[in-house]
Amino acid sequence: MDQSVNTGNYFVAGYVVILVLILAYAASLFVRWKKLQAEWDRLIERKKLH
Amino acid sequence: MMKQSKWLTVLDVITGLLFLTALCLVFFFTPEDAMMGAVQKVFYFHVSSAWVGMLAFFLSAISGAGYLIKHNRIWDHVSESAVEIGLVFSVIGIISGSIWAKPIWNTWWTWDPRLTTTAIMVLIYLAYRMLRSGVDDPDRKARYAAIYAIVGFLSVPFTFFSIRLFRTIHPVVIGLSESGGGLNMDTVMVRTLVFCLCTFTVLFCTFLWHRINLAQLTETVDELRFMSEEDK
Repeated sequence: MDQSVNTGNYFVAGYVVILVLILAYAASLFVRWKKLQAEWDRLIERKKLH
Repeated sequence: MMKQSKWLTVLDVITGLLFLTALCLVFFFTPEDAMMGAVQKVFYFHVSSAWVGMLAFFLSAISGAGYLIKHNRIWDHVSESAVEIGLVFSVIGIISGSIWAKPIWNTWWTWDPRLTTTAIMVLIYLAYRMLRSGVDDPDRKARYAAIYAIVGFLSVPFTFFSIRLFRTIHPVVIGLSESGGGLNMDTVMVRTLVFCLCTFTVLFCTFLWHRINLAQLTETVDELRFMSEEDK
């Protein structure tokens, strides 16, 4: 290991990447849920009209 | 409009609080490793992510078997959801491990047995996703996916034990390797690691619940769409 390297930068980078990926997955779940809900509402409305 | 269970909202809040506590423990309370410096702290979330990845793949195999026995679609939803979450956390494990490796091994990636088997495991489960998207008939899709999830799970113990079966530079976290190369951690480090493992397990349960809801809603919407096309 290169002792001159400041590993603090890698520590911060590691946690930024981890948090961004976890939040991105949570956001993708939320967005997909909202889109499906809108589609479900639209289809139910259409079914009522028929 | 479909509403999510209030218990799931409670679980969301608990998970958020646990996650913040885990971050505080890692950032402010655990000591830095004398040799590696601050980057050693990546290890707490790296190990927890790898653990969730393997736990998810184990659950997908169990639910695959459940589907083959019971033929109930809920087992397929659990298996599909678990694989997706397992992939996310395995990729997090690989990337965070790579960031740790750069200052410690002086390289982002090396074809070490643990890294190689993990990459193969991720590719196997990416193929699971491709298999699902390649079959249209829902029953056949669920059956093929269940069999694949069971067979694909063979890669998980192989990945887990690779650091004991082969010569490797990857540290052994649980127990000692043949060369006695276990990590030297003090009590605070061990407690933080255990807390992070528990937090990530709760996070996995929360994501799984949301993802299963999503799979069920997808199925309902597909059925409604099919019925509305028939009405035309």
